Amino acid sequence: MIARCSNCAGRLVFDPGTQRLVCDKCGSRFKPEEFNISDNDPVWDKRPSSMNEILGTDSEEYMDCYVYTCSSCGGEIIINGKEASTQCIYCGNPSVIFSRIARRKKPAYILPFKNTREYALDNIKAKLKKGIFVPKLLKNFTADDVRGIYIPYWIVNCEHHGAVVVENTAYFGKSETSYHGRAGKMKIVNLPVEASRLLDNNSSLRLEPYGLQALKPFDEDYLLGFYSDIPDITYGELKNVVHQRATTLFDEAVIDSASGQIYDERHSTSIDYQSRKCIMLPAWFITYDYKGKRNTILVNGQTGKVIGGIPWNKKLFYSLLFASGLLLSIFMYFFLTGFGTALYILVWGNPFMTICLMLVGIVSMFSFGIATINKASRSLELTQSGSIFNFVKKRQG
Amino acid sequence: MEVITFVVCFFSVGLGFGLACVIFAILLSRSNDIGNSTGMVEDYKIDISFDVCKNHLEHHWEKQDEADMFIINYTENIDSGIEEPDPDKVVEAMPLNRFELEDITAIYVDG
Repeated sequence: MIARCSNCAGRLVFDPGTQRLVCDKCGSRFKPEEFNISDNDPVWDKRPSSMNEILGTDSEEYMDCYVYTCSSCGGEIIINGKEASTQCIYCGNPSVIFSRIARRKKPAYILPFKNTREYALDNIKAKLKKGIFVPKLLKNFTADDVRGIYIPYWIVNCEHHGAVVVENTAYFGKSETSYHGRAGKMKIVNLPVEASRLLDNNSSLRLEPYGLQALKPFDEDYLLGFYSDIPDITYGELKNVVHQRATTLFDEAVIDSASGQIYDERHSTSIDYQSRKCIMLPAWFITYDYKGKRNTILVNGQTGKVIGGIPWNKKLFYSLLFASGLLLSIFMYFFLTGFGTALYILVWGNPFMTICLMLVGIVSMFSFGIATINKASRSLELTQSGSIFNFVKKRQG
Repeated sequence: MEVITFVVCFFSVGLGFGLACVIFAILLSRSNDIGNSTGMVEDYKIDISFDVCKNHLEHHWEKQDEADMFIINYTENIDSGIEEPDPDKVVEAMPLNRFELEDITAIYVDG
C-alpha cells in the first residue's frame, strides 16, 4: 500500500530532515499525524501470499518468501516473513505491508528517523577520515547500499534482585585482597529489548541509548520510504535478554559502589509482562565492500551514533607497533641504567620487590593491549558477519 | 654484572613493547572500533537501592566463610505471583492505550 499526494498523486515518503511526508513530484509537505494513508485504500487486511501457496509446492526454500502486489504498479514484491514495510523494485514506491502490522502486532509507538541518509553517510565519512589505521581505499568511502530500517523493540518494566561479592586487590608494598558485599533491589522502567531474531543483539545493543522521550504514537506514515520488521522473539528469549541486561546494569552499580571485580553473584529478575509495549526504533544500515568482504556499519537514526568495526591496515599497525616498541625499549634501557638507577634499585634497594612490580606491570600492559586489539577484531567480525548482512540484504529495492 | 645487564635488557624490552602495545591498542580502538559503547545505568530509568552493604568480608579459600555466606544469606528470588507465559510462544502486543505515551515521555524527560 502506498501514499499518494493529495495535490498531484505523486508518491510520498517521510523526510527525516523536515519530519514531514514529502511529495517527490510537486514537493508538497504533509504532517504525518494529519495524513492517514489507510483512508485511501480499503485493503487493510490484504494478506501477502506465500511462495509455496502460489507455486503449489511445499519447499523449504520458499518457507520465508511471501509475495505482495504493489498497489501502485501491480508488480509483485517478494518480502521475507518478518517485513512490515518495504519498497517496490519495479516502480520504487514505498509500500507498507499493513496486514503484518495490524491488530496484535501493531506497535504502540514509533521513534521517527531524525537523521537523513546524507547525514548518516557524512558522519561515517568523517569518522573514517579521522582513523589513523583506516586503509586509504576506505578514506574515500562509497557505500554500496544504504537502508533505513525501523527495528522492532519491546519495552518492559522489571524488578531485579542481586547479591554480589566484589574482590578488590590493592598494592601497598604487598598485595592485599579485600571482599565487599552488596545486596539489593532494582526497578527498571521502560527497558528497551530488541525484538527481531534476525538481528544480532550485540549489534543492536551498541545502537543504544535512544532518547525515548521523542516517541510518537505509531503511525504508518512514518514507515514510508523505510524498511521495517515485526517483532518475532519468544517470551523465553525476552526473559533471557532482560535478565542479562538487568544483571549487567546491577553489576555496574555494584562496581561503582565498591570498586573491584565480581567474585561471586546471584541474580533474579521478574518482568511485568502487562507493561510490555512494542515500539519501532530507527537505524541506518550502510553496506560496503572491502577486499571481497561485505561490511555493514550502523548509524542510530535518532542520535547519529556510528557503530562498527572498520578494517585496519595491519601492515602499518604492526610495523609502527614494532618500531615504537624498539624505540621505547632503548629509552627504557637508558632510563633503567641511567644515573645508576638500575644498579641502585637492584643492589641497594629491594631487588625482589622491584622485579615483581616490573613483571606485574609488563603482564598488565600486554594483557590490556591484547584484550583491546581482540575487542577491535571482534567488532570487525560483527560488522562483517553474515547475520547482519542478511538482515539488511534480504529485502527488495 | 652480566646478570644485571641481562635483567635490565629483559625489563627494558618488556616495558618498551608493553607500553607500545598499550598505546597502539588504544589508538586502534579509537580509530577503528567506532561506537563500541552500550547504554549505561544513567541512560535508563533505574531505581536501585542496596539493602545490605558489607565491607571487608572474611574470606578463606579452604572453608565456607563470610564472603560465601553473603551470597547464600542475601539472595532473594523475586516472584511476581503471576504465572510465567509459555517461553516458546512469540510475544504479542498488549491492547493499545494511547494515553500511556505521556507517561513514557514524562519519565524520560524528568529522568
